[in-house]
Amino acid sequence: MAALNRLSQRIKENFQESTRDFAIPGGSASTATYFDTSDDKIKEISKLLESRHDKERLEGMKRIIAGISKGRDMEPFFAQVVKNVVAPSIEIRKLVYIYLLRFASTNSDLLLLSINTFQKDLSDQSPLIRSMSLRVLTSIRVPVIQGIVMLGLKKLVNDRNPWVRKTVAGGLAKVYEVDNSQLSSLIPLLQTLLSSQSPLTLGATLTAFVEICPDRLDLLHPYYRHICRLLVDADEWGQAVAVEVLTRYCRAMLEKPEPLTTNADSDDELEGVDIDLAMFLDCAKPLFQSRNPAVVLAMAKAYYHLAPAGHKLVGQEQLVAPVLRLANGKAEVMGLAWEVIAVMSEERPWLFRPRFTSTFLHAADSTYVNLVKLRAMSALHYIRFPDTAVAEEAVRAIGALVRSQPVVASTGLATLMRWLRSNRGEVQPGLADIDNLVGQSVISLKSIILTLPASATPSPRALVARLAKQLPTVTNHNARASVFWLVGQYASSDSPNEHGLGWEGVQAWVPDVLRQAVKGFAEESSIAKLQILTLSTKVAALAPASSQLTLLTQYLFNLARYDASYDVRDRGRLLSSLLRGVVSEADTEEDQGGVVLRREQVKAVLLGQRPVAEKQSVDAELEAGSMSRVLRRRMVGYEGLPEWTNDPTDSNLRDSEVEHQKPPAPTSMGSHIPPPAIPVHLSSSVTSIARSPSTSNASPVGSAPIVKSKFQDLDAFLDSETEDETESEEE
Amino acid sequence: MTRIDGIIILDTNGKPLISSHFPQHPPSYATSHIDTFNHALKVAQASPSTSSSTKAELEPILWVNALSRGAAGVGMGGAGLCHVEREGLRFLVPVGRELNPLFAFAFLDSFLETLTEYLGEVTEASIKENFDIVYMLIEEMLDEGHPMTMETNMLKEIVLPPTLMRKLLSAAGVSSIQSPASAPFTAPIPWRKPNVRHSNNEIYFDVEESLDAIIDRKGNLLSSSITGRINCNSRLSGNPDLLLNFGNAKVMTDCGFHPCIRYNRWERDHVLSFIPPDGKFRLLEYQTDTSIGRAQLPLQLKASMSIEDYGGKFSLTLTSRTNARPIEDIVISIHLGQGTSSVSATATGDKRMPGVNSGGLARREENAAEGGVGGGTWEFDPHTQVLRWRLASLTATERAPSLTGSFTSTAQHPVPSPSFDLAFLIQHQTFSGLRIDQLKVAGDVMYKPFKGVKVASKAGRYEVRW
Repeated sequence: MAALNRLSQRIKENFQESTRDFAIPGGSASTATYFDTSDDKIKEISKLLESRHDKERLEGMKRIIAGISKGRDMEPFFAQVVKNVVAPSIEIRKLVYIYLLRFASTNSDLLLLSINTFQKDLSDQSPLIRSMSLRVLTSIRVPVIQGIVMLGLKKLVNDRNPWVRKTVAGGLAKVYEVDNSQLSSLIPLLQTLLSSQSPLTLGATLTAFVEICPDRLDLLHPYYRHICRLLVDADEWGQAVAVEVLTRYCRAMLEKPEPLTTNADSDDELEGVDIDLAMFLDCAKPLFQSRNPAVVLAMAKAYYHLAPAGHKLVGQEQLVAPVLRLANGKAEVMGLAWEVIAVMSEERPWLFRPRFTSTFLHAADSTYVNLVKLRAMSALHYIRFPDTAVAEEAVRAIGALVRSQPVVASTGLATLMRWLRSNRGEVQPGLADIDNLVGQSVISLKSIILTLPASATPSPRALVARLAKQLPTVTNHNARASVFWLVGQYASSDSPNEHGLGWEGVQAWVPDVLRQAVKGFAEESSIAKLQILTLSTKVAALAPASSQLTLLTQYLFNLARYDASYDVRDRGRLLSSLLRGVVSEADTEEDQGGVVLRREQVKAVLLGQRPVAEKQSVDAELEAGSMSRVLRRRMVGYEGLPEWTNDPTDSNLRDSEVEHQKPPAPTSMGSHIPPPAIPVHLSSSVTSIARSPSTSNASPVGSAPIVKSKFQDLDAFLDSETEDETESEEE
Repeated sequence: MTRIDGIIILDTNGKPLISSHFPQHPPSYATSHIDTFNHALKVAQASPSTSSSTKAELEPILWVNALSRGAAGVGMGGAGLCHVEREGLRFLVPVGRELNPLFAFAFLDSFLETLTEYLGEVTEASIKENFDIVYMLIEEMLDEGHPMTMETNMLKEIVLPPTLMRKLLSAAGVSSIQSPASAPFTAPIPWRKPNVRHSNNEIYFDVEESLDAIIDRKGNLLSSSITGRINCNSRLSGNPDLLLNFGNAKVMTDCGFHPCIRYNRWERDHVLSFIPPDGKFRLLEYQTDTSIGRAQLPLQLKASMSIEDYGGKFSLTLTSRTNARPIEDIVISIHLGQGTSSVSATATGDKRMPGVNSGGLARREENAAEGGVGGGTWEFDPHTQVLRWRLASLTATERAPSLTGSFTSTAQHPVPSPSFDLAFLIQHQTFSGLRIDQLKVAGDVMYKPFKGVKVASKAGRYEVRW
């Protein structure tokens, strides 16, 4: 041991000796050595490269690489570096290769001098040298030598070492990139690689397939079952690619699985599933247990898009537990896994429902994770979070939840309403965040209310009325505008005989809202002003017989006419002329020309059904688990999965000699298209029930008998309302 | 669909340390990614962190507007920038084309593992010292963005690790690398070096479980899950074929296996059959399906918190429910909300002197010195606004320690985090009851290895709401 110490001591001295020359004065010794690339030192590199000693040449190469990473121009050394290609030391050669790959394209002439060396190395005994030289050769993107490169690929495609064949696979894509006219001669090489019995080459081969000819899925027919079998033994990275390719193949080539039939007596466990599809799903199933998150995600996507729901062996429910395992993993993976769960449970809420407790938030998680979790599932508890971003998303999520899960609608609504009320008076001017939160709550409520059927309890009308009551405390402009719009939308009344102040057809409390709005009109933001105008126009159109309301509207139009914002002025003009056919029996004497709409038409214009739009859904067509979806932008190279084919290919195509053991006899191929296997999207079925209030029948003008009754203000209306709000709290 | 663009390593100041080559892209490609990242980081750090954690948080993938070369020549495109942080260093992976987003992170993870294996620890200094090795590794692991040679055991044959021996030889001017001991690329098992020799044949298994739980203010268990992992250090000669039996393997439901494990054997018999890599590796991760009941929670925290204007009061009581073993390293923490200015509290406990604190802005060391360990010690960090209560250990027989106190805040309505986070450790026990039973060795080896097993369980994300 002592001897070793002494030796190491001597070596250390020796080392310091030899490096002293280029150490920065006062710099930390050895680390700074290579990174000191002042001009003097660079000159020394030439000397080192020309040295007879391996050690010095290695030194020179290291400094060059250091220079590259410092951003120095190291190209002038090209000629000297090329000479070192023949160095006996693998270590030097590796650095030379790194250098060459970087500058090859700009110095092709010089590089051609060394082509011979690479070519010779293709026949070297060591598989490492063969593979390395082929890699460099294929990476020299010079059209002139593509012939030589092709020869090299052809030579090594049948190499007995799978690692070398892997390099060949990598080379195919590079050749294709330089010269895509070579495709026809590359494909046979690809086919040779596809038939390889070694699982090691599978990934690289399919990667090449994706790079060269992703649309030629038909090439895979004879290898499909072979690939399925190799899948389990391939390397992780290969598995991730292979599963994606096969998913694509199944969509394009196989028959969509039939939904599960109700008779469970059937012995055939894979009933209704194409035999080849079942083979893929079954062969790949163990990969759910990969440690590699990329593989698990690829698998989840495969099952999501291919597997039938509710199937015992290969049902898409299989993906739930593995994805949740990712969601408990490392921080970076966690966020993205939740992102995937969020998207999947937006599209198929039933999938993750049995495991909904997993989505509960942990205060210890990052904001990002919590935001995404909330999108995955909304829990009513989280508005209390100190992080207002999280709270805001919580409110939005409650909105989404109520819409997609009618069961909890009343609880969700109650929470939102209570929350709005509890914040009354607490909204401090400085706290813009809280203000936004209120805004978001109102906007969420708006979209919930719009999707509620008119028969719901509490009825949408009652909710709107309660919202209107909150108006004085709501400061967010968007929220105020939303409330005004909602009031207008739900202003019509089904019971015309009730009060009879001349505004039959209008809810009794609406005029009071309008009155207050008109009173404060000058202080409103322009976006709210626009909605007040719309509200008053709607009211006027609903109850043209009431002179009070008509006057109020007229007054409002006058206000709008002299407003500072031209949007408001424009809108005022537009709406007042829209109303001409409804209110203006008085000033018919001068015909202003143009089209005058009748009252029914005006109502259709103003109160027509509105689609429920909310933040999100722009990116809905991007697939779950794609990077484009995470970034909400369509990336280069994004391509959605093809739809299930209507014309599945014959399974005989997939019989081939690559197979060792034949799968069970293929099932007969029906020509009919099976009905969708996937249960109907839950939230969409809800939307279809939703009806616009405008469809409620309002009485024609003047047909209702006028009954005198007392004017009812908003508070009185609310008091008379039965308190049907259920205040159950989920704790 | 199958490639990343490359990898960039930034030092602690955001300057590039190592950058792979981006031949497919214009020269500005790397710089625009670095700039975007640094900018995003600055924005995140500058914004008043509303979250309870103090670290600046970035989305895991950033969008970068960069010149990129598409099918139709150079044009404005964009790329996703995946990033992770280790020891203050930032590892960036730009992705210019659609890709499985976890692919990039899985690669980064693998890359970092390899770096750790090579350099011992991944720091700015160690990377600078061995930059040539890092470059060679990148070169071998990535073939123009496609993962190439990823197995550490295999890489070690191609890129020699920076050992003392190698330094000796290179300093002495001997070119040793001409013929590596074994021929690379010939190993039949990708993850295992051929001809491994150890004088003592031993293998260690390290079982660790963590419990995630949310407990509501009434003490009900809202959700819980147990995740576990088995780390392994194998020092066995030859190519041993191992068969590992578990006491009750059925508790492991969703597993993530090292590639060496044979899937079908697990599916059939619930045993692990594998030829291990040499050295340290993670054998598997698992989750258990049975969520534990309320009664099985090892530690109970009764927490109450009341908020007043400009402050609040809190009271905590801890009870151990684990009879067999002491619970160690207990830390209870809560973010008291923006604007919290001071905390005063009293920690009481059994046997030892109670520690009293008042107005504490920092940890009172004398408490520990006086032996106020029974009730533990508490501290409040005014920067992060986090209150922490620590206890070295707790047994079921001890009188329940408690912490009561109040805090003041500059905000009229303080908004503390709605839950207390708990951390603790229990040695020699698993939550799930998993046991490693028996290890059988087959294959071309004639020895009986020493088997070492260590077991521990701890709290993962364990929170108690108030």
